[in-house]
Amino acid sequence: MFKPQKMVKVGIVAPNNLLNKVIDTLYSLKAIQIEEYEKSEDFDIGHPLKRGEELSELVIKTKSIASNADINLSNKEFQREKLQEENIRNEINNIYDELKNSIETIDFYKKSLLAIKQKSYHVAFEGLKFDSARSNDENSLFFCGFVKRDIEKTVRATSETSFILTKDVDGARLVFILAPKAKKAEITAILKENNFLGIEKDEIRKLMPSVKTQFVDMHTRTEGLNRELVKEEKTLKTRLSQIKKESEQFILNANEILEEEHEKCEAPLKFAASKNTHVISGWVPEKRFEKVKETLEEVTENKIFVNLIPLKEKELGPVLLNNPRPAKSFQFLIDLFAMPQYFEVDPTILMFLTFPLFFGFMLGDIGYGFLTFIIFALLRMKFNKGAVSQILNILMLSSVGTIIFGFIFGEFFGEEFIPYLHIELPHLLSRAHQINELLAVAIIIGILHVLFGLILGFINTYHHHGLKHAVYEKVGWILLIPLVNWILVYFFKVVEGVYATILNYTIPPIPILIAISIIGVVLIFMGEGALGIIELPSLLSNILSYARLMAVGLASVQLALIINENVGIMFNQGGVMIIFGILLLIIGHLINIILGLFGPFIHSLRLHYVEFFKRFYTGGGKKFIPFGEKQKLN
Amino acid sequence: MTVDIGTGLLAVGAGLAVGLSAVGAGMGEGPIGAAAVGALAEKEELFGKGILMTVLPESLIIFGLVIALKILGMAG
Repeated sequence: MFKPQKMVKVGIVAPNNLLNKVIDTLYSLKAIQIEEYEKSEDFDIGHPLKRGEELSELVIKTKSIASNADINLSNKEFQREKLQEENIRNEINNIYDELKNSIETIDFYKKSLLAIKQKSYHVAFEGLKFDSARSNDENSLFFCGFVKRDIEKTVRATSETSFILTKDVDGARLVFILAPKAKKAEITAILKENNFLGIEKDEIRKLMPSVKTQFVDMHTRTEGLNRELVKEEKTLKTRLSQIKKESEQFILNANEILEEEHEKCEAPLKFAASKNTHVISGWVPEKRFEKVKETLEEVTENKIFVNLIPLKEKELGPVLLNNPRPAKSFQFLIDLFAMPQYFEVDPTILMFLTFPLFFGFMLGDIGYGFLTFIIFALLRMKFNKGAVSQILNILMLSSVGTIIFGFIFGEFFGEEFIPYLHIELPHLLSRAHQINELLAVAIIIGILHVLFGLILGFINTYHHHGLKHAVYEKVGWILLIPLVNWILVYFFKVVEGVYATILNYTIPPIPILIAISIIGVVLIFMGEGALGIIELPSLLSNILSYARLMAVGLASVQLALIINENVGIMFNQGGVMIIFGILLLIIGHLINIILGLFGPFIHSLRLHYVEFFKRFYTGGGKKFIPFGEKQKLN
Repeated sequence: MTVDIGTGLLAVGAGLAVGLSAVGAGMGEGPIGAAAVGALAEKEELFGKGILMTVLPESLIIFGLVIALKILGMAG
């Protein structure tokens, strides 16, 4: 609970014919973080599985369909379905070919229209010569115009004497065909199939006076082409919106499945490979190791070899935090700051305990607490995934803290006394009147929190660097705490009354105080060097920093009180002013709540990140990302 | 509510203690914050270090606040 999960390093040796099964199993187990193998003289790296190429083509097709049909592939909120790869392949190919055809047709129409309009095809006729015997033959036919696809082969296949020449005109395909009269029907069919756009007879005669054969004039379509283009575009548009409406689910599912399969195919790139086997090495959480081993041996009928790899000295595993369910949301805040190192204390659970309390101490209001709790609970129902839900969990707990401190301070929307109902709320501490006491409490919380941080720091250093370093680095600071207490009580005089008496118990007689302080400073110097000495005042300023627990809260109480006071005046004036009063009441408190959420959240976070973590936390561990878990794509 | 000049001056002094130290802290944090955000854009993992560096000058205002409270304590 206080430590990241223990990791073990495993090596899996699998013969090539079982590689597929092993990858599938590991992928679905989501328990291993594969370590990339670096090519060496002994072993090469593996090759992607064979179907990878076809899969990546399908992935690209799916993505292109999605981008055309305006389907957002980063949307992860959809109904998951199990689809057969065969079905996906067919369906995706069908849709893709259909769309491709349609888009190509439109493109063809546009380009040829432009070529015809600007007469840019004239260039293609320059220097063009045909065999004079054939071009003057009465039994020949001559076609000239634009076609969508390359038809050379099909035309030549019609008869031995069919002649075809293709020229490119600004991206449009211009063909010249000389064919026997007998084949007219066949050729016309081919041309029609390829959206033939003929050039007008007179134009051709002008451009090619030498050709005397009969012309087949198919230019009539050209005139109506604009209309056809519009029609084609409209068809494509309706088809795309139809795809979005009917097949969005399918496309999203297909994309996910294909990407998964593709990732599996690429996995061997991380393995070491010999001629007949692959070696996979990676990190597995210790408590899942047995299960992983069993499952792998079961699916491969004991034909593979799974074993533990002994760790090298100082080799650290990836970090997987391990916390009870209610505290899990706070892992988000840890991840935001920095993952703990493998051997470090995981502060998630501590944050779970103190974050809502600090937040509550600052906002501390029964009314605000209940109101915000209801709002967050409603929002939480709507967002039940991802970072937003975790932040909402944290805020809901913080609202509970706010309610608890609301009762301690006896505050309801800033007031200690509820008018009209004539209820005086009981309180342990009044924020409006006992500012000095509040400050003292805040500072004592600070002393305890920092001290706790130092103790954790001792544990961390002890585990990683041994007792000597732990004593030098942390005990030195702990020995300085009485001195800080003395400064707070007698020099700054910020802790007074009963709280001063409490702190006095921690302050020994002056000569002893001086002695342990000097020992403390010497230890710090030995542990951290001159930098440690420069850092000395930070202990005092860190503890004083907890004064913000009082200060931030005070600001929100004062603002609430000012709102209430003005509303009270407006209500007493009566008439229209009552409406304005109600408006001020709602808007004023709304603004105060928003400020009151923002401030305490940031400051509570800061007290943890800066004052608390500084005493024990280094962070910088690598997050455990198992093979099979989807990663955010940048 | 009548306040004699002495108390009034104490109040002004307390206000200056908090206000000026806040200005100082702000002047310190501004460029650090800008640099930290710049670093974050390059490397998100630096969030922790960035926030630590950014809030360093903030202890100034805490000292200012303590002084202000001491001054107000003198006013009784």
